[in-house]
Amino acid sequence: MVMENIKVLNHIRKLRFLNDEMSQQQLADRVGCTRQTIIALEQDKYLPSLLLAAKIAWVFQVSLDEVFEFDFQEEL
Amino acid sequence: MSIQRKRAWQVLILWGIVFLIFLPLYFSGSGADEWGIDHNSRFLSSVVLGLGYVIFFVLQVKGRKIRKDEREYLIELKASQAAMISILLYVFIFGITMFVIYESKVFMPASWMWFLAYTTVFLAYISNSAFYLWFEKKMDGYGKY
Repeated sequence: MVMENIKVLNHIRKLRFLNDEMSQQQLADRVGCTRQTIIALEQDKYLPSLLLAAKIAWVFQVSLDEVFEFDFQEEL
Repeated sequence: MSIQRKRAWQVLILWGIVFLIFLPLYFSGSGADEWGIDHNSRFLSSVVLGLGYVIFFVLQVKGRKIRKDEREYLIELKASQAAMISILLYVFIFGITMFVIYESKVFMPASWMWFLAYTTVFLAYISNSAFYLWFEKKMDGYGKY
């Protein structure tokens, strides 16, 4: 079996709203990226580096698993 | 519009205009055959290139400082790679075309080398900016294209 596709979903938008409706710009400033990157992340158009992912989880004070959801799809 | 995207549009438009000014300047009059000895055209082309660079550097210095992040570096990297390949292809096709045209003739006008030198500079900036804008728009599926 070969692991061909890994689908990654994230809950950044939900977590922002749960954290005093944090704006995209505020999150971007705290993790040190641009607002465009937060937009791309929320639209599942960009997969962040482990470092950026960890920063986002740290800002929300949650674990990586609570921010990102991995869907492993195996192919025979 | 992000600052990076705005900057890419500025560079694309600037070098696009410079390129469009250079083309008729080069091909007007006797064209490539006598461009080398036409000092006016050579001087004007140098002025156009120089002006292009002056405006380019003013835009770089005067513009707001860009804070880039990993996503923008990734797009820049992809755009640079694509631009480099396209420039290599341009030089290759240009060289082959020159060979085919002048294969049976004794001489090839050296001014074609001026043309190649100038247009390579223009196309490098144009293609880099165009690819940046294209990749930024096209990027989908976690940073894949």
